[in-house]
Amino acid sequence: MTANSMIRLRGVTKSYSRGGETLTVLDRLDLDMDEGGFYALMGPSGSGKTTLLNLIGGLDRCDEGEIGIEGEDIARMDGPELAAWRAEKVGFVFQGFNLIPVLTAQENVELPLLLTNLSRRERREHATLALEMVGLADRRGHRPSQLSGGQEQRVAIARALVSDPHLILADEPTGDLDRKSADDVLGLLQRLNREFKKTILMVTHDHEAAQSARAIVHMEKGGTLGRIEVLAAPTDRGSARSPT
Amino acid sequence: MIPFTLVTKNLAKHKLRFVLTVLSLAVAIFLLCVLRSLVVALNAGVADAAANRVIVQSKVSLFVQMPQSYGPKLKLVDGVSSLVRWNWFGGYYQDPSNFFAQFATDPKELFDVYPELYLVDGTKEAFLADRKACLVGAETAAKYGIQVGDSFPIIGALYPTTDGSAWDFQVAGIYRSKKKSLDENTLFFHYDFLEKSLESGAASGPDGVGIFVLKVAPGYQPVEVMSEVDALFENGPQVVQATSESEFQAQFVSMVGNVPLLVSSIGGGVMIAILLAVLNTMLMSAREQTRDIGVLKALGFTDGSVFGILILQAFVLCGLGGALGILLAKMSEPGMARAIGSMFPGYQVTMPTLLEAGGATLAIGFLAGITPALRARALSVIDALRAVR
Ligand SMILES: Nc1ncnc2c1ncn2[C@@H]1O[C@H](COP(=O)(O)OP(=O)(O)O)[C@@H](O)[C@H]1O
Ligand SMILES: [Mg+2]
Repeated sequence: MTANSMIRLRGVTKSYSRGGETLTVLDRLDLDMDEGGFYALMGPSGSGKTTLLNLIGGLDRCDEGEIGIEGEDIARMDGPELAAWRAEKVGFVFQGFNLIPVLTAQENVELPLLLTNLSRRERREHATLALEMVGLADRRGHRPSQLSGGQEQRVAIARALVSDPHLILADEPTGDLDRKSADDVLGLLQRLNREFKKTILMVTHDHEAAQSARAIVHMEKGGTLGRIEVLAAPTDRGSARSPT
Repeated sequence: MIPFTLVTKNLAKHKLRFVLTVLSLAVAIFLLCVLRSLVVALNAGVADAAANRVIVQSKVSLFVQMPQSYGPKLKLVDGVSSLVRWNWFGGYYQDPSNFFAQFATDPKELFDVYPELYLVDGTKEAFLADRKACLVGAETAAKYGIQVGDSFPIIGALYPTTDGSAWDFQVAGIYRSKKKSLDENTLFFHYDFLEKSLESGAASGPDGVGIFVLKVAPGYQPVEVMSEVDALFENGPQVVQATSESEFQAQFVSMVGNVPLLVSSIGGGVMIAILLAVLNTMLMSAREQTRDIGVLKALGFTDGSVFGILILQAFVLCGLGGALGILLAKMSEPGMARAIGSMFPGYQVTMPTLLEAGGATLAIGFLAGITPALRARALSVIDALRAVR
């Protein structure tokens, strides 16, 4: 398990101080996740799921411990190194979509590519391809306000995958969506995992959504890990069909 | 890496707010240019004053005349190569509101003492030949549609004619000046004409000479000439004061109060007001973009990039407003010069004025952009992502 560990956390501690009081959200956490896995992270509200995801994605810093991603300890990186690392290695999908409202779908998807060496034309092509993959090529000129929630989240997925990162982190990606749109999004994530071999870590508190993953990591209140439940037969979200 | 579409699209997001801010910037920068140009006009005579001219006036006041007998004595002072008399005529054309300066002066010496003066129409010979001839500044000629060969009746307020009629000048030439030491609004006529009219009783008015302008010969120090002149009339009958031309011009500027200081204060106030307005716009706009900043940082854009995105918005906004204001100032230059030319001869929007306006624009852009840009740079990803839109 350790040799091809995608994610290897050792003794990760994170606490927040609020009004003089210290709240330890993650306490000496150890965790391993395999490359090519699709993990659902579940647990009660306030148990530290988002905090953990942010640490793994290099959006936040832990107080102690090692955060090894593909063999690199990102806990030791400084700000600019971490930014460059994020651009190259991780794609994020958020609950609130977080598209940039003044940009079109196409421009939103192209954004991460500005940090690569790709030419303007290549950027356009890659973004178009990513939008085709999420079934929204015909909406490329639309701004987020002109799209439905489900469509917005699919654009966000296109943005997360356009720079071809190995790791995709999704924080309650279906939390704001209706069942149908949620299924589309889950289907896409499954397809990214199966066809494109992306390692995916998805926070959710929806049991049905969690069934799309191949394993469920349970978190307890107080930032300790419970069991890791491996799903023998994940629900197939029919990702072969193009969502509309 | 700065995504420029984000700079422009965020600016264009609130169209009305954007347009209003650009327009108020344009008005402020335009105003700054105009105020600055007024100071330039006031100081133009000082800046362009000739080093080899000495002005002699009564020590009591500019408005006290000196005896005619001083002329021949001044001419004998060591280093004085020639001399002209100037008498303020204080007349008007048709109506007192048609104000411009007229001077009685020595026609032949005028060209010698003021080599910057040249004729764009008419001839020097025609001017010298006729005692009633006059030279008219090109600006004044244009304003009243006066041409060579016309008669130009001027009502003498200070020197009224006995029968109440206007002084009848014949326009022999239209002049311009290569330097700002001489404005292009004045009318010059023969000193003789004034003198003879007073002698014959055809007109009445103050006796004596307003000022003498001495031309210092090459190789002589104007300062020495000045002290010699001062010494010459130390015991009267009328004590005089000799000054350099630039000092003389400067006393006109200070006569209207400390205008440069006043104008600078107004200009500074306008700049501070507009800075606060732009700063407010930028802070509002930056606050709306807080979550976008978090997204950009999450995607791997550096703190420096988000700093750049925000400060560039301020620079683009101010650049547009400033450019518009500068354009307005430059385009309105001929109209302004015509409208206020007789009060501020030499109104001109000069390169230094434009550069100053450009500098003010950049400074406003920087000051309005730096706070939101620094704030965006320091913002942590997770705090930014938590911001509500
Ligand atoms: N920036 C922060 N400052 C202070 N407390 C925080 C901050 N972020 C999270 N917390 C607290 O840490 C705990 C875990 O939060 P979070 O990771 O968001 O939980 P989850 O995503 O599992 O609901 C919560 O009690 C939350 O209030
Ligand atoms: Mg959460």
